[in-house]
Amino acid sequence: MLVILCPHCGPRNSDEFSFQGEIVARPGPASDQETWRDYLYMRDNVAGWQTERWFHVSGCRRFLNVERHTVTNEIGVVTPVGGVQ
Amino acid sequence: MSRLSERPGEVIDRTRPMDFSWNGKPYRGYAGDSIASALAASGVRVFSRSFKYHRPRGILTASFHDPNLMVQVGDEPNVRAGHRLVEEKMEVSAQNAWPSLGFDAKGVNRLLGRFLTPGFYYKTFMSPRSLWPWYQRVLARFAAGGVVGVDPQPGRYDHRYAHPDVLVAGGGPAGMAAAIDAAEAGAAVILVEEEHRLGGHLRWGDSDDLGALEELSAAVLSHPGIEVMVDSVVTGRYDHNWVAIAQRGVEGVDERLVKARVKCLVVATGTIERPYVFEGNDLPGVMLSTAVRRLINLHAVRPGERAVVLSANGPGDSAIADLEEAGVEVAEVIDARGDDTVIKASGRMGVQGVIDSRGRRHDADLLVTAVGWTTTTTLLNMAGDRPMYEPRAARYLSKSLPYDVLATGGIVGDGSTDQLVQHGTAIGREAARRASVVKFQWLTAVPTGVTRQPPDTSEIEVPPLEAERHPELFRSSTHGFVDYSEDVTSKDLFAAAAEGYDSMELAKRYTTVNMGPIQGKLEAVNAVAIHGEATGSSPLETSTTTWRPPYAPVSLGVLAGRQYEPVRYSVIQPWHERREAKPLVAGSWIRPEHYGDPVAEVTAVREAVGIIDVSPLGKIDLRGRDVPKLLEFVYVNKWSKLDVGKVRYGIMCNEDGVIFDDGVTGRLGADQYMMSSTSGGAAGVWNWLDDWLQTGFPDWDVKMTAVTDGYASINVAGPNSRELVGRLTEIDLRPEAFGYMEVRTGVVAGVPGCFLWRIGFTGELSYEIHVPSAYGLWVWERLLEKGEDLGVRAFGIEAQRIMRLEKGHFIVGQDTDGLTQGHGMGVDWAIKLDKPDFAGKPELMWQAERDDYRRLAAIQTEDPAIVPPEASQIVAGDVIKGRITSSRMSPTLGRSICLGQVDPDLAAPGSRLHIRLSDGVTVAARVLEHHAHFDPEGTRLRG
Amino acid sequence: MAELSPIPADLAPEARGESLVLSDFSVVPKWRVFSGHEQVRPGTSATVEDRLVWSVSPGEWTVVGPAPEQDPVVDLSHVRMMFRLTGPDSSGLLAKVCALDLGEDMFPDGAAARTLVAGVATELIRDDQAGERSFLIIPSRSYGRYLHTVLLDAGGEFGLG
Repeated sequence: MLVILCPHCGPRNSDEFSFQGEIVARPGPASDQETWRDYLYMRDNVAGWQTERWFHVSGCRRFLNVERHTVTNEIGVVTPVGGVQ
Repeated sequence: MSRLSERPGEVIDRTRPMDFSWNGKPYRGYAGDSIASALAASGVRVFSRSFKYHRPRGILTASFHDPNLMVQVGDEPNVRAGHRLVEEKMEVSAQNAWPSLGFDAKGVNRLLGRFLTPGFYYKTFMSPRSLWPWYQRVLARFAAGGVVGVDPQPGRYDHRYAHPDVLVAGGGPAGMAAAIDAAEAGAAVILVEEEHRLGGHLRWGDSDDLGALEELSAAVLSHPGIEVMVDSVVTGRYDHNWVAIAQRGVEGVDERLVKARVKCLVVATGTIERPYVFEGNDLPGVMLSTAVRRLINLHAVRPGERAVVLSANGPGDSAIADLEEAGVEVAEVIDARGDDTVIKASGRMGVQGVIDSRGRRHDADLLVTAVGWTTTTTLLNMAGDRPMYEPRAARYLSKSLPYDVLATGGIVGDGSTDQLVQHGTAIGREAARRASVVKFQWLTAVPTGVTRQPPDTSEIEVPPLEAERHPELFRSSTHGFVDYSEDVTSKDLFAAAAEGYDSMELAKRYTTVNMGPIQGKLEAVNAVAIHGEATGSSPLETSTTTWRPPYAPVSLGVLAGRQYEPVRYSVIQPWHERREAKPLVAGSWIRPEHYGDPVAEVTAVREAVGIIDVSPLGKIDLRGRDVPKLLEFVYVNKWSKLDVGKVRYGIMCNEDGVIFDDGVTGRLGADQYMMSSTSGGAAGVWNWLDDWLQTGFPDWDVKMTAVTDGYASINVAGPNSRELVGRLTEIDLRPEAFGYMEVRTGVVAGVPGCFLWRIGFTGELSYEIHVPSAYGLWVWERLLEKGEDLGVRAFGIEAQRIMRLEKGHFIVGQDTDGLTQGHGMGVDWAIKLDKPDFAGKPELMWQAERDDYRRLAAIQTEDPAIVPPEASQIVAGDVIKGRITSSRMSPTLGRSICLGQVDPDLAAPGSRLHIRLSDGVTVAARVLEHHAHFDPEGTRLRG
Repeated sequence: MAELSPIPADLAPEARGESLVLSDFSVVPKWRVFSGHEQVRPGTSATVEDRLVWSVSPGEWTVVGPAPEQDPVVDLSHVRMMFRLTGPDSSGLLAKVCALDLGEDMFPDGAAARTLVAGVATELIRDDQAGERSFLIIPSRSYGRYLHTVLLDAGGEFGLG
């Protein structure tokens, strides 16, 4: 059970969050199939630091960008996404 | 063996005798006795029969980790008799012995010993396969373990969360010192000790040790900052110092699982004494030095009459003094620091003689060995440490630890009590400091956190605690047992090496060494060393087993704890219960499936009027200028021109084009919309909207509030529904004033703030009334009261499902699956590919281009009496062409009706289909023109 | 706030000699607003005139008391239930069903959170009453019956129920 320092709620157990995986930018609706399917299915799956998206579904219900080391589970900087702060 | 006169450090209360039974015979011990010590005091020497060879086994370690002391207590199997305290009227019996401990018929395996080589069972019982059931029956009778009661255990279990600054695992001198000084530095401390009392090895030490113990434990127990848990075990350390403790001795419960988020973990788990491998090393009467010191000093039990001692260290030498003081004749001391050692212990049911390396035979009933220590690095390994073997000290030592884990005591090194305490003290202060660094970080992140001074960043100096030089002693010149639990000998390890199992990990799985209930705590180092010897490598070059949680076995009960499983109820639930509705578990909701007669419920709706509680329907209140943009994006159809007072049906698809929810959304005011979703999809839709609003379109002006539970939702359906609803509201219900797919707000049965929409899942004229939920039951009961003369009747989910199937309305997740994309469900008209963008658009575009997708079709079997089970396959020869997704006997039509997904070439109206039933029989069916089996024109619905 | 006071004086924990009292305040009006209380930061609560206001998420506030005069306002009165758990053992009970650190420095009087209580995402406010430790627990209504049962069960060892 990880601890994630939610920027709105403070330290919370990871079971309050829903893991959304690697952050993938949405290509435009006119994309070709390869681009779109990359967006749907292809992930880098790095062994090391990555920025990923977590949803604090049982807390503030905010989507967050979380830096995490995928091998050690160390957590780095956590920031809210989008405009509303 | 017998009871000694009072010992200074004894833990038994001689004023409180405990009468219990062992294999049906009465025995007496004292409060504070373990089962094993009480029996040993009465002369019991054989406690179990071994797993494979059924050899007699006696006390080895006299602790929790004694592989030979697994007993049955009442209907509880595998109780550790070296640890469990004896209780009044306790019924204890031996396991794995038939017909009795003294004469074990299965001991015949001993004679077969030379055949029971590693892999014996695999090799011998492989073929012929047809004989396996017979093998299985015979082998099962030879398997070890106790008897599990078939009735539910009456135990009570509990869970609790804890947030200590510092958690100290291990209550020996260093652990106690660490706890005291961490608490003195202001930390909130939990101290966990596996045994029933604090003190570690001080408990069986000399008067100086006992004095130190008294001082330390008094300081620990009186400190308000320390919570002490004895007879409790830290079972695991997980990510970010999430620590599980199985706590016993809590009033009112058998066991409690404490889940602690620890800011700094101090591991002070000490060492476990290592057995020595030689011929006869498992005979009753061969004991570790710590075992005899426990028996003599804690339980005042004389462990034998005449002893030989093999000692390689100071604590072993101390055991000699203890033996002499207990009146045991020490026949011979063999100093293992020199070249001398033990070659063999002999005897039948216990040690009778010992042969040393000079070839001398000593008469003795007790052989005490003190050949080394194994550091209990389990928790360190779980924290990412990879301890390295240090040959100079003949043990594994920690290599590197994360910031929030520290180690002290015997796991680090050796020293006098003072040195251990000094080390523990410094570690305790450093632990408190590190905890304050973590806490400062957390407090800073909490909006309301109490501001604190930044923590001290200078590390506290910790005095060195060196591991003393110790000879490497694992095996004598003879072969003996390495793993007592699994009956694995050093000979087996050599055999495995000879057969090519040159990796320890493979040899472990082949021989099952380390795989018994002791999980390698006693035997892992010996196994690695002997495997190294057999393969010509050294323990340094081979690795130890990975240590995984739990550290010690835990009961399933404590893991389960109290079952708190969230359950949701509608506010109308009390009425459903009074009417004995059959409960239907739908996600976390409990809903009425029917009230006894779903067919009659259907008839009531078709012919008069019915009401159904649909409160679990998801409801989301949407406000703001940009709501239409959001609706345009998340639904596949168009929303820009929805007038106030109108509702519209919509389908939501994921970005892969797969349908994940449907529902209606109504416009209640200029900037106010109410979105509904399926009951099961409510949470997913809420999250989906939040996702797009936060990550996709943060500039949009949309305020979203989930209000599912704010409204009790009642669908009033049937030809008399207009008349019934009209009796309770002033809202103009005339068809020209309130048409199909429209919404009105107003007062119902005196309750303001309701909204009603005209939709019809059942295919009947119907009004869905959404009532502020505290009044839901009131309105429900008024509907039943006012509609009595109209034939009103409550109906459940089953009746609703039958009617929607008659009407051909699909259910997402029932008639669709995880691959069902938008087209083909009969709602292609709603998929607006000319919209610039919406979730899933590209995939839906490509799906339409491919035009190869299965179509939803209404299907009727040619024999109207046959209802093909849901999920029956539609076949053409041996090719699967689709499947039945829903099927029922229709009370309205008096025949079987289905919905199914079929390949495009069979989807045209009139197509003849073949449905394969579960018994292999194929029945003929045909595709209807419309999805609706009943009233395809919708005259009832729109009336 | 009078209507939120924990319990009538004659039923105060001290008077009954009990360490824990669970009371139901579900009937009080509750509102969701999206502006107007920017000084109440997420994770905190405050008494603003005759209303109790808290926030557990940026840009959203829950208001308890008379209907706020602003637009938009969403009525949460029926959406949520509201229990009050008062007494020195209240945090001990919650520690059995909630993983949040409710210690004095991490969750002082006035703290507000949305978190899991017995597996249900629930709002939790520390709102001491006359110096007595007290928590408001505000679950969604359909979970109310379950959560009430859980609190009574978990409170058994503290003499609740």
